[in-house]
Amino acid sequence: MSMSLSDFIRQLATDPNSQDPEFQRARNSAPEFVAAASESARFETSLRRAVLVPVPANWLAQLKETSPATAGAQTRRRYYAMAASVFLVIAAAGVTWRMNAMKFDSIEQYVTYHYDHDGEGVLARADGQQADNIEEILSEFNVRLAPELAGKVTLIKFCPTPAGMGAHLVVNTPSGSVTIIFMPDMLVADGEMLAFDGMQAQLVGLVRGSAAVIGTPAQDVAQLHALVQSSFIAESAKT
Amino acid sequence: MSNDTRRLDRFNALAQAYGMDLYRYALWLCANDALAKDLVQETWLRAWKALDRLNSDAAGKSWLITILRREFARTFERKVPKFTDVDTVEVPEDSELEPGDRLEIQLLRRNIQKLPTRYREPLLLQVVMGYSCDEIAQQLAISKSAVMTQLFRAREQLTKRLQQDGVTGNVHELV
Repeated sequence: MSMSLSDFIRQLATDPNSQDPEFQRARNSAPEFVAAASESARFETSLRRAVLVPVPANWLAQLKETSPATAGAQTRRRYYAMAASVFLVIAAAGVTWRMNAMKFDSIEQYVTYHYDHDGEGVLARADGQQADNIEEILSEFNVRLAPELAGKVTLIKFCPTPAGMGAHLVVNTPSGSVTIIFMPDMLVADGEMLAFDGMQAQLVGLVRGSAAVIGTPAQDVAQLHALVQSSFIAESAKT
Repeated sequence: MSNDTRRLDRFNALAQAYGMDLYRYALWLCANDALAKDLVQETWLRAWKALDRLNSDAAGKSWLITILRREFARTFERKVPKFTDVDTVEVPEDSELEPGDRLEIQLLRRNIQKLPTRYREPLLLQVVMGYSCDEIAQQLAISKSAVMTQLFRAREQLTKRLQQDGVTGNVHELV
């Protein structure tokens, strides 16, 4: 018994690449089947074009360098250089996934979410050596770090913030590593303390944007307030 | 060849085979480029650590998708960020595309993001990852008939929304 047109169209909308013999035989069995198959093929082409979004340049190279086996300092430098170039390529190509696509009700919600997402993972990735790509990353935001803080940064990477791209830093302190989320386009209540999931964060107003300094209560992140506030220097302040 | 070299070669082969599709899949899940990259890289780190548990490279795709979906659930679903609709992906300039086709693709992207998760996820597994209905059923731990219904509903809703958006006349008509 041959397939009905309605069953055929349903199959097209379910599994258009099905190799079922009856489905394949039906494709050319009558003009209305041919027309339906043709229309489905056109829709599937559009669907594929819609979902197969462009992949950033060098993405596979970045991915391969994710393995710990290749994560040496030199590799990390290349990775961030590529990340910066990818960022520019994406912008230039017009593939502009909106970086402010995240909406949160409060800065506390964002900081909590962000740290919960990858805070511990990023801390674990820091190898204790001074990061060698600080200038490269922060120059994206026309900011540099004063040497006193820069010398303590063991990892820095781009990260999303509710107002666009930011930076995620791991800083070595006498009480262990703490996290700094740099939010170049966000204003916060300077000095406000947040607490979440056994962690503590202090918001710091900067000459450009703001930062959240995150650590355990024992690390007393408030001690870092003055250092952080004075260390993010706008490039225009360069002499 | 040392064991470490073999392991790295195997890892790189997986990246070569599935890295681009995983990024696309993650991008649709996260609706945000930076988060998608983070998600795939976290997936890759976990995959590297567990690589010895992957018995067959033929199972690599579903193994990676499983890790990615688990990682997505772990990191994103506990505190769901409020994403805006994904209507900001600009279609790259393509001289082969007619303006009407470009509009259709733009609208499709927006409408795919608006699909309920139960419809969107099987559709993405099918179109982005090339999964069969059986593979989708296995990945999502639902029946094949449920997968087929969801795929049908996904395309049906996309078609209806395209028509509501005014893209008519050349849209696949579902009965």
